[in-house]
Amino acid sequence: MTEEKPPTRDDECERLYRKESLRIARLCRLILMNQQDAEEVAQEVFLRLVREHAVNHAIGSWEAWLTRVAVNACRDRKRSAWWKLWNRNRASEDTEGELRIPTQSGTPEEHALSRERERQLWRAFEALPPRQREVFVLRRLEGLSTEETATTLGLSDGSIKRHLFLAMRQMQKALGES
Amino acid sequence: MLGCLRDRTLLKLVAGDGTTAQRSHLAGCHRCQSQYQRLVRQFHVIEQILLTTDPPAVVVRARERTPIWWVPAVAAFACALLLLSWQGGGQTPLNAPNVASLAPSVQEDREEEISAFLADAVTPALFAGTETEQAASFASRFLDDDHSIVLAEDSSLSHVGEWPCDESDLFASSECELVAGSDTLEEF
Repeated sequence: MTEEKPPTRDDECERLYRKESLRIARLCRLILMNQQDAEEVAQEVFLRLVREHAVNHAIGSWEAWLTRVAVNACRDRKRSAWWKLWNRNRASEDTEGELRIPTQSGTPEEHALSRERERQLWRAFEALPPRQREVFVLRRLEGLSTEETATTLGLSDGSIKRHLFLAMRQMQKALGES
Repeated sequence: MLGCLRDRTLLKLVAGDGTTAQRSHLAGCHRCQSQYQRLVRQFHVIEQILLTTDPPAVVVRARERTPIWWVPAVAAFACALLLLSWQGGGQTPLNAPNVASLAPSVQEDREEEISAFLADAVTPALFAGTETEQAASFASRFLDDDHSIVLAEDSSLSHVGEWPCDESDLFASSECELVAGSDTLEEF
């Protein structure tokens, strides 16, 4: 009978990476609105995890820690001036009206309407103030509770509720106008 | 609670906010419940779209399209300013070339120009020729030879533009003392 070795720190980091990498990348993509930047930031977050995991043993929930660090890393990325400039240049290189393979059945008109609706929705989401967008992402898309969101963003519960309500109203308006 | 909940209140309830009274009304009112469910479905669709689709490029472009119009304007202004300062700077006395550093022929030409300018313009304006001559002749009648020589020297110097001193410089140099030391000259 072989004796099982206790998981090492590397094993624990790997487990967290397997479990959380997609979620963190998605979170970063929603906050940054850019796939490539989101992947870069997510990698930075997991590098920090490896460093922090080696020295800090007082953290209770590494999942919550990852969320908090990811949100802060996204904020840092958005604050940097070069990011804004680079994002502007890259946006001009993108192709407008990029064709997509339809994933749902339906007529071309329905697809066009659906695409237009998506675009409208993304535009409204992108137009949200940063704080409202963060609250919306964490509360509605990541499924965090009001208390967890408040802890992650460093806000009060009431503030989280207010930001969420404003964000939802904005999104509802956008969908109603489309 | 009288009447049904407003859309705004229902949205608050969907967002996890709202009072106990509002929640109890919602639990007992079919109309409000159906409205509430409609909102829940609507946000479910919104969340699914945000979670399953990529942000289209046009979204980024819509916000970042603002051109950096001021960059060429600032660059052009800076160039114009540089050009003006360079052209204007060449004409200032501080930036004028040093006479000593010029070639000998140029230096001679410059000295001639200066002499001609002093003789033609400055000397007649400051020391009218008649006054100088009258002064010299008047002085020669009262002064001894040395003083008349000094006055003659002074008058000749005035033509070259090297007048040794003026009234404010009296007693300031040995040359001035020669003229001003005389009691007769003071009377004059």
